Amino acid sequence: MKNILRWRRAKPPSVEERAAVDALVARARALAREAEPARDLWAGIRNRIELERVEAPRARAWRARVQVPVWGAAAAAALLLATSIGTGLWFSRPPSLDDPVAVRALADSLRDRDGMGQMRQDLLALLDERRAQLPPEVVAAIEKNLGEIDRAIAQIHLAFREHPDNAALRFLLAEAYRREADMLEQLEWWTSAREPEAHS
Amino acid sequence: MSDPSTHGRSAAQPQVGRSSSGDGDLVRRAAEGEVGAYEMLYRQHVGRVHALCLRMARDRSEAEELTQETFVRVWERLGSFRGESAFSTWLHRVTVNVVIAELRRRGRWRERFTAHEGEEVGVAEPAFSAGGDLDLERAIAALSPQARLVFVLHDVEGYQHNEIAELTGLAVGTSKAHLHRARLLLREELSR
Repeated sequence: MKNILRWRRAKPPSVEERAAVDALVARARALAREAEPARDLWAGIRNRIELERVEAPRARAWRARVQVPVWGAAAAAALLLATSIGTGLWFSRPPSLDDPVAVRALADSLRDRDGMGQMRQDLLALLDERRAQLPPEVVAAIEKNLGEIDRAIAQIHLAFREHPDNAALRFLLAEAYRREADMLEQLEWWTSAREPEAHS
Repeated sequence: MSDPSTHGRSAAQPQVGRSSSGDGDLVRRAAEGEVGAYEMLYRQHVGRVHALCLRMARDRSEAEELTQETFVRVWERLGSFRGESAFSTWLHRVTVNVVIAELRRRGRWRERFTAHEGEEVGVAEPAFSAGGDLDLERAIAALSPQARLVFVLHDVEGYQHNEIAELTGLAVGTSKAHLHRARLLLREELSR
């Protein structure tokens, strides 16, 4: 078998095979390399830039004050999240409800609610376990934000009872779970034993 | 195996559809904090960034999020742009980095929440559907995420395997294997 595989690897491509690959690559190279978004994304980008301009110096000052470098990033992000929830920015992106693909993807994201619940429980347990390692301000910010998200989820579930097929509610619920999961996942990352990477 | 891209364009000098001759001044002003200048850069380059995000994303909504994320990250990193390459080249590399990092992060989340056992975490329909070669777009969208990433970077965007390895963390041999498999699958799909 190995000999056959070696022979197959060593076998030069036929003229037909080479032509077929060339044709495929030519088609790939001819694909459009520019595509304007269906809606203007600048407003959302500008909001985040402005938020960063306001929050970054405040977070830096906070980090200097508490002198716990590893938790500086956590605190900055917690402050950022608190601000974004407080200003309503985290729901600022209008749902693409006119887009059946997007709606289907969002509906798909709700398929495994048991999985969502389990992950949430796991990460809440992690927060309890590592609470002592975190500055009290960070714990308070995280708990406040979790509370905000949980209240939003509860309200959406209530609204669901009256409008079970409402696509906007499905979007908001998926987004709420995603925000919660992202925040808790970041907590897991922050409390691991390494410094945050400088990029991405 | 023939590799036509080796005599094709290089990603080191990407072709941008719009003039970027005025980028230098805009980049300098944006790096100094002028949001208006950055908006002009966004308007000039969003099409190119969004096209890559569309091909790599699961759907149009995710592509929009990735596009926004890219421009936020670029704003944060403008100070590190030294002007050794064209802004469009640097922007494209940041886009690839952001897309890979975000898809990895979201992939972990999606795996835990939505992927059913044995289910391919791919896309059924292309997010990129605005005209053009729809059969090929659809076939690309159906590839596994890694094969799609390598095919798009190599055959659509013109990156070399060593550049893909540098960007993605894949070994050069793995990148080549993904490309070979992607081309095979695409040829099969397109010949149906």
